[in-house]
Amino acid sequence: MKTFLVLLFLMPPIAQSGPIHYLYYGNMYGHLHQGPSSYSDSLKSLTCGDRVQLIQDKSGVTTEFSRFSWVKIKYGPNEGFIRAEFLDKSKPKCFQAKYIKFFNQFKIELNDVFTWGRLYDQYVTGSSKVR
Amino acid sequence: MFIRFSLILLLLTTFSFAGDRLGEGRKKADAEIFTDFKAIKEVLENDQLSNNVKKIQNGRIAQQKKKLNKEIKSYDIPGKNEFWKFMSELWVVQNISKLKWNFEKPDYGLDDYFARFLEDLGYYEIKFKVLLLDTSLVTHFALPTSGRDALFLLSVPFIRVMDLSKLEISILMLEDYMRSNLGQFKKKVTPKGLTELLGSNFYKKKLDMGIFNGVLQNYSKLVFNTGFNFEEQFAVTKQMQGMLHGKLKYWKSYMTLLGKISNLVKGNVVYKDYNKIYPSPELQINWLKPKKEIL
Repeated sequence: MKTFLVLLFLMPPIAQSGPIHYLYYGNMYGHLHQGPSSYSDSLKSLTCGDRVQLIQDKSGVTTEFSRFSWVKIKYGPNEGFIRAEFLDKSKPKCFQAKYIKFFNQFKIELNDVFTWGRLYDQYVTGSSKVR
Repeated sequence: MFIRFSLILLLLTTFSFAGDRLGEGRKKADAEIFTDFKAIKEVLENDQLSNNVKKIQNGRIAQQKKKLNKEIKSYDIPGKNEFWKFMSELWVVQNISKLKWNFEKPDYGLDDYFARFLEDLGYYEIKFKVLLLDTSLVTHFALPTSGRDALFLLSVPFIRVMDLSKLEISILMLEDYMRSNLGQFKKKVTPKGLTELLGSNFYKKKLDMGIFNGVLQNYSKLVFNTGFNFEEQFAVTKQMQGMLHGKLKYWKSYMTLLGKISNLVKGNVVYKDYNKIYPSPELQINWLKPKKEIL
């Protein structure tokens, strides 16, 4: 009995939390930014298909997720911001994975990976409505 | 008394003897059945074994086939939509030093304005990306991408020097979009042998990377040097005329835009090579003006 109580005391506390939202990065490459701006410093590079965790605020409500907003996410040990439109609810069919042998022939270097990630931050994107 | 006792003893002995005999018979019958079942059981067991072996073998073959199919699929070459999107982005990434797109810029509100402009002209469900450039080396282009979508390059110095309005910028991008729809860019950058490769598979074959590197070289040649010819410009201009003629506001803006570009090319040495890429705004104005009747 004593052993059981000791073990119970030593167990980590089970935090009260709401549902954890996981999303997937949808572009070829990308960046996790320090702040909600395309020009803020990059904390980490992302690749298509990487899973990120949507961060909940103190009240347990997830950050507002709309096409035009920036969302705060956690990727590994890093927390930062990314444009909401770059994230998908399900794992996308990534070009690099789908055409892996073809893609590898181009021998994309690390600095190209970084630059490619910056490219999506620089796009001005839009679409005309559905009829 | 004695006789009665003897009779009972005799009867008991007889029943006991009979019972034993009967038990022996049952045991013999059971033994016979058991022996037969043993024989059948072996057969049954062998059957199950062979079935299981077949199942496992079939399962292994199916797994190997699945693995092989996955391996073959990894050698797929993308189809035309995914290919052109990939190549355009790769080219833009590789030419960042010339295109100068990685700079901080204000929000010009182009996304909403151009979207409404497209809707007004009946272009629905078009996704577009605009990449603003901090160079006058490249003025404006629409690069090939997937399906009906659009990827625009637009020089900020170019639009600033002429003080273009959002409408004029939209019309400029529309002209590039028309050019893209006519397939002019793709036609000029596609080397021999590329079309057959797209959507195919190169499992156990050598992929000729010369073809794909050739595409990237052709992109650079077209954008920085050769541009489009008169015939191609005429085709686009006529398309624009058909598109905008019914909308007076847009038509007037198009004529104003061409006038501004024409004056810029004549008066600004930085844009002296514009006619090499897009010949020539002055000619375009002439093509669009109504012909004067000689009475």
